Amino acid sequence: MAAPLVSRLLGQTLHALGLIAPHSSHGSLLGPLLQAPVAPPGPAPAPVGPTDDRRRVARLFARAGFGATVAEIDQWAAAGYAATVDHLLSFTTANGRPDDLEVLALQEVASVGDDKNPPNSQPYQRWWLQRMATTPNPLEEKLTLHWHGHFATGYVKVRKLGLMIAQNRLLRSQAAGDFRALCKAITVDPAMLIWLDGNTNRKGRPNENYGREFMELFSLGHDGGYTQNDVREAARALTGWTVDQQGNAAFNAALHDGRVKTLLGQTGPWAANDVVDIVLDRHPKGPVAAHYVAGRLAAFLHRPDPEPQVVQAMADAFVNGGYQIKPMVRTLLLRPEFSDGAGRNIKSPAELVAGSIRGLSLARGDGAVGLVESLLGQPGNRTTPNDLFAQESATMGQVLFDPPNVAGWHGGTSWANTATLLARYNFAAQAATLVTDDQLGALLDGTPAPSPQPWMLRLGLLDLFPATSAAIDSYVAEARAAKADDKTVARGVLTLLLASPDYNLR
Amino acid sequence: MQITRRHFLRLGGTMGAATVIAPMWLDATALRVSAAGATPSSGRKLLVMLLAGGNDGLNTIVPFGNGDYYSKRPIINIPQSKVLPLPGTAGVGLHPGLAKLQGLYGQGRVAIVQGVGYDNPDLSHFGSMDIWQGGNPALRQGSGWLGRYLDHTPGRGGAFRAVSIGNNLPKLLTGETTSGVAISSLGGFHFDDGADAPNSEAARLHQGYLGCCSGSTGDAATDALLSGGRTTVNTVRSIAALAKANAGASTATLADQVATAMILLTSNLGVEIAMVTLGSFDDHAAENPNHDRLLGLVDAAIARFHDLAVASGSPERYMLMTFSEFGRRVNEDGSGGTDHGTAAPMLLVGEGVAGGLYGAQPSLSQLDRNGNMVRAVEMREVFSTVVEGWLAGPAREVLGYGPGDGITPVRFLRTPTSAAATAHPAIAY
Repeated sequence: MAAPLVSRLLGQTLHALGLIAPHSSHGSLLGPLLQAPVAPPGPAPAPVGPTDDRRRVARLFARAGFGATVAEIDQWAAAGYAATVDHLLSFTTANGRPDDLEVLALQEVASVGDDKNPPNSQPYQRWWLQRMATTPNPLEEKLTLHWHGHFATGYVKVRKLGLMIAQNRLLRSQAAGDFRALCKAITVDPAMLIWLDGNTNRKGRPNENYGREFMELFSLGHDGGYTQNDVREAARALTGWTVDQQGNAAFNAALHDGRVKTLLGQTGPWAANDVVDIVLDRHPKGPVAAHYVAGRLAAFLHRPDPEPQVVQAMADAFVNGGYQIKPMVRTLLLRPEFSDGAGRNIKSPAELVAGSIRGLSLARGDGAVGLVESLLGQPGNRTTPNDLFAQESATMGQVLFDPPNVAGWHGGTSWANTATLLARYNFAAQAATLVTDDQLGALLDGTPAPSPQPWMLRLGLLDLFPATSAAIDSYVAEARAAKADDKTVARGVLTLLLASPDYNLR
Repeated sequence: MQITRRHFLRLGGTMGAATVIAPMWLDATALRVSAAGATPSSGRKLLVMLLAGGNDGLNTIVPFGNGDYYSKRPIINIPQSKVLPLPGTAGVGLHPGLAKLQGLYGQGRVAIVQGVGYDNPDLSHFGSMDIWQGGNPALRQGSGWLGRYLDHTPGRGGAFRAVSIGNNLPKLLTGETTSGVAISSLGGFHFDDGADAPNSEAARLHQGYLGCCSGSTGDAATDALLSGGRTTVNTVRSIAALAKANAGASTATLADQVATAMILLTSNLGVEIAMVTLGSFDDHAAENPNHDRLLGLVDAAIARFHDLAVASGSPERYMLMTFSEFGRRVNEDGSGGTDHGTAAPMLLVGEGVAGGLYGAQPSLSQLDRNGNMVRAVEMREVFSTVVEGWLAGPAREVLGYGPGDGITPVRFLRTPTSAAATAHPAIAY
């Protein structure tokens, strides 16, 4: 795997370190890197590949976060893989920092768009991406993104963007929390009540929409052992919930069907919370829900086709932990199939964009302002007409708060087609142009020639596929033969790295 | 010696400007070679229109002569006075938003196949969509039936043979070995950093990206990026002139997407199949205003298709087919909407179509145990005519049925291909 690159990478560490913004918690990384051997001139020395721990940690940050710089990878590799897992899981649910946009959105909860004037969701997408790019708790945002796809809800039908933000806070508050509580809350979440018509589900005239999708997509899966009769009975149990003009959910007993229902073989005067409890605890075939929920989480964090034994272990941890999410996640992250397995996944557009911002922003301590704002627009401007990311992301196949349907984003190889890969290339080229000349100047200072190494350090790429390495080398040779200037070539190298399979995989 | 892209990349350093376009010559040569021994194509083009979410067939092709329709849908029925009549039929008409379709029906350009579905219907959007696109209700296939048509007819067409207008590639156009491409819009389908001008920085970068995407690894995700990246570069290059000439082509409405699809189908690129998608048909609540709006978009899009087919000078070569993953429940729910149903009508439009009503309206009173209609026509009885009668492909292989499966193709074509008549004499049109 491109061994000469790796040794050269170490050789150039000193130059690159000057570009890594001082970050209080990362001071210790200077030690090991300063002692790294500097590549002598002439033929490349014997390759020094990434150690297994560096590989594991790099992969962990890419999968359970939004990437990390090589400096961060080195720091955590020194601490050990298990310690890094503990670190990523150590966030608590009370740290959702409200910001101006969130407050504004909640104040605008009553605003309603119409077909001709749909609400502009782009500032909300930008807000969340910025949060993903800058959060100190990347796994919290990663899991929130997962639950957004799991309990997929779209603003186009909900209309009230404040309700989408409120749902987003709910998902974050239980991101690694209590799945049962999350199910009970999402069932009567105002955005969800609008999205799947729970707000019109009435005694005597049930609407099956939520009852079906709750079992098929949120808890049991398409082949989860329920019938059309169970769908109908669940719909009856869920009757009576409404959403008022202010966006508040309320239960109206007069609209609720209080008679007896039979759901999954259990008979009683069931209501909304009972549906959740029966589905989780009393399915005649056992913990079907635990397997389904674990399988979807593994397909998201791990690989599109997770190993059955991994899903089984996760489901066991889920059930044994009383449907607490964190033990299930921990079980996954500590599995050797996760840390060392061969299977890869394709980054979602949100991961790609947030990770690029995170890796390239040169002043993280200042809130990653420069690149984030040039890339995503000014956060204070709520009506930016040409939000770069919102446009690119739509073409890449992901608009936050607007999943393609109630099944969420399919993920995996569905991210890769001609339209979406062209958008990924164009995003890469665009991001490269947003790196300022000053930033490039610092990056190139003292570097003999534009090369991938400084970018690899920032993007957390320990090595490259041989084809990628060769293609970049060829590009550099041709560009220099054509007398392209160093900054152009440096941006070109960054474009290729951001567009490469290497960076689009995790 | 097999010349790979890797070799071109290596040669690139010494060949200078010529390297940028060399892969295009290579691909063109390869296509000509592989086309030499292939079955000739029918020369016919197919435009597929997916109505996603479950279109309410009963409020599209309205059985206004059936009293059950009105008794079971007291709120959302289409009053008889508003139904658009279909000449030569009784008791069946169109939603009032389908006036242009009515006109085309009057000209004999529209075949309506009623009651299309499959046995043991799946009421899940995603389960049923898989079945409709997979093309065989007994098999949960990873590929789609039009993708398998591509698999079974190698060497036809050009750089790409099937295209979805949008940013996803539906399973329908994904074969086991051959797949279509996705194009969001012609105006947007280009490299933002510049075209492949000889010796330009953009051309060097695009060649670099192509180089990054060479080879295969055996890992599905990695290979999807590798082969997808190569296909992307080649597709951008192959349609560059067409995209530039049509850079202003909108994709804002379904009709605009149809127009983009027709630009591709009528081009000389060898595109045989195009697909457009309209969503939001899942009307569990407040169905009428939304469904009215959607069918208005469908009507305009079908009319645009017909106008552009006529404008091409050979309208007999173009056919449009609609489908949805299911119809909706006969009884309306309590929200002014309908829950998930089963059988529904399909539309086939074009000068190659023998206009009229086919199939049968399922009973609105003899329903299955879930209160849904029982299909009159198996979906493969329509698909087989499309594959064999229209596209001259092997229907049985593509759709996986045999003589004992009771599949009788619906004869809605005026002149099926000779392949259909000779390859499977049992299929009579």
